[in-house]
Amino acid sequence: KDLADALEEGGCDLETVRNIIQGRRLPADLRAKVWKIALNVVGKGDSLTSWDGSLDLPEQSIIHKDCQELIDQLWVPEEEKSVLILDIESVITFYCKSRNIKYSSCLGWIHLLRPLVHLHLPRSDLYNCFYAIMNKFIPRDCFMKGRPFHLFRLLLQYHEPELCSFLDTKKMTPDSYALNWLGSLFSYYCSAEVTQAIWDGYLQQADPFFIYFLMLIILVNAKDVILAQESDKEEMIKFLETSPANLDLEDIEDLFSLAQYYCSKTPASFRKDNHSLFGSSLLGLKDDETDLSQALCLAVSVSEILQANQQQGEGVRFFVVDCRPAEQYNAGHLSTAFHLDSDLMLQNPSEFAQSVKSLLEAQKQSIESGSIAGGEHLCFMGSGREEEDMYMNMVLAHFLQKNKEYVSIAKGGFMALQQHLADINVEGPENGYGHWIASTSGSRNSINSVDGDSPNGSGDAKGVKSLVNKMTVALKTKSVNVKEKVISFIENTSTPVDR
Amino acid sequence: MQKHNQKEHLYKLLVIGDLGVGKTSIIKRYVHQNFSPHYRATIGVDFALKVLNWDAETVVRLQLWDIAGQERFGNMTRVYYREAMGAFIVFDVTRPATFEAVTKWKEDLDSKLVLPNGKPVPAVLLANKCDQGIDVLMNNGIKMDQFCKENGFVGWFETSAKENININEASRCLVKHIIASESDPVQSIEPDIIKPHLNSSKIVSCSSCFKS
Repeated sequence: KDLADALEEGGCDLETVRNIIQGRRLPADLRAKVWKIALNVVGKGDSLTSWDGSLDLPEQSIIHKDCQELIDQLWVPEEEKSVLILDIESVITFYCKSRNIKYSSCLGWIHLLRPLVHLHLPRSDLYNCFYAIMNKFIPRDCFMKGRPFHLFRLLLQYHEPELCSFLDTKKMTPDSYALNWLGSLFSYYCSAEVTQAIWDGYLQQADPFFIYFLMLIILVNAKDVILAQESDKEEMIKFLETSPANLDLEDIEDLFSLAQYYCSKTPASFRKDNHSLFGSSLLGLKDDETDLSQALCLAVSVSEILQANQQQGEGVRFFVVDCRPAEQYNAGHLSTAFHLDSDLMLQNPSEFAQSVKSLLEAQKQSIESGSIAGGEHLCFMGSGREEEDMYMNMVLAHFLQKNKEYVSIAKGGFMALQQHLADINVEGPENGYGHWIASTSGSRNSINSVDGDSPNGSGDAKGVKSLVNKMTVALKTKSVNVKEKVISFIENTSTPVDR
Repeated sequence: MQKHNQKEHLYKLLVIGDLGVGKTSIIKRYVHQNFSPHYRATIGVDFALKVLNWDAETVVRLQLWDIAGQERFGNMTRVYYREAMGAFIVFDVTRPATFEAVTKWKEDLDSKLVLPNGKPVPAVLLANKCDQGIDVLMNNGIKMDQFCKENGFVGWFETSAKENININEASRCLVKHIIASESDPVQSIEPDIIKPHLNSSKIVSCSSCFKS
């Protein structure tokens, strides 16, 4: 096969390997070489040479016992056993020593080592592979109540709000069932050959976040069973936790293509803003700015919002809902944003319900017309000031409560948007972003406001004003270069009118 | 219609308490007159409106703020306390732990919110799910009266959202106290007095432990 030849020649990178494999199953005899390439450890030296080899950690006996158990589970010829155990024990011991970590069985390293041991690597490679996996593919704080699991909950909520709400209600947090999914990259539950197949795909992806989507698929797959179950919490957690064990070799291809699909329906900010979860960079240490456990939903950066809807074809596209008070909205807003006055929710619930209906209608129409304002993904934008945004959070919670999928919040709100536009406008007004902010009061974009018909006719002026949901839709023409804009208005029930 | 001389009051009321004690159910019963046995966790904050014809010349509009009991939203929900005029603190009579949390909720409330006259907001304690017949502490009304006195509750009620017991009564009690406190001609205390409160709840996880 081509792959064997290419690997024989040596010097090929992951890209080349990936192109040859093209998602096909990996032959067992070439696995070690491919994984080493994917983990970028080819030609790396023996890190253990600097070490005197003494196995003298206080927890050494536990390490030894765990290694012994691992080997006993594998079919290893009796005469090779002692050498292999020494290799594994050395790898763990040296890793602990060099990183100053106290070993404990619940770290799950044994499960991470098992697939590697299957490769029959020399000790130096075994260490390098283990190190690379720990470093690149195991998120930091991968323990109970750890950050990676709060992030997973947000991802689940984004795609499967109903399931997420159900699990929240049962107080089944992701760490309670997925701790070892993430910590062992499924090796804890899956058979050796299934684990190999998953790792084949996962390591080739070279994207640590991809595991999140594999985990998501496992949950989505179990959704019907979970929602129908009446059994108690412990039982359900057990069921969920062990569900990866039901994976067959035949399922892996589907697992990956489904994961790929969900991945494509997820805002890029999911990765970008959580990059510090993986890798050894010290940057990660100062990233306590956002407490994921307190987040209401996934956050999307304003730069992604601006970029996303300029792209053609597939990918995440946003329908931006501006929840600031009418005065602020009128003073300037994203030209594609729909205005939903959050005060309405408190002051006039029936009008609010009406506005939500027209919002969903407008969203549907803008998607159908292919407008750049259109998008399946609802992104809520506030002012960026916590006090002011409390009503927006209520509106957002209202949508989540109704199990609306693809709901996110614009990180930093309108303030961040203005800041971002100021930053990129430094290069001059010709970069095409100049028209992004529209002002209803100013004449810059010649936007007229259309007053809606108030159902109670002579209601107070403020009520009427907040009823008016103005929306400017900047339609994109076929050519990217033509910046001509068509502005239309959608107001409560009327259809968009082109001008 | 005696609309010409009618007064209208708008009061914001908080409904707080531990997860699953029945806050949403109480509001549902009170506002929509129904009950669903299927529990579902509230996300963030929910909201409902109730209009009361208090007396011949007074209409009271109540904004009921249903605040999620989950720890997850602990920090976020603080902001929703603002400008509330009264509060229901709810616990579940079948779960003693939720009663133990009542003082925590009350302290939290008082540390974050005072009336313009400097007094704590009126709060009524609701002992919910009294229909369950597993009353752990209810056979001791005197103790409860004592508890309320010590912890600054204006009253307490055994309630059931399921059987519609005492919810209207509890609400009337709270509104009565709010109206009384409004007409209370106590001097207005400078609102910018900073009340000392403990800020020890933040648990800092050590991010350098496992990996560095």
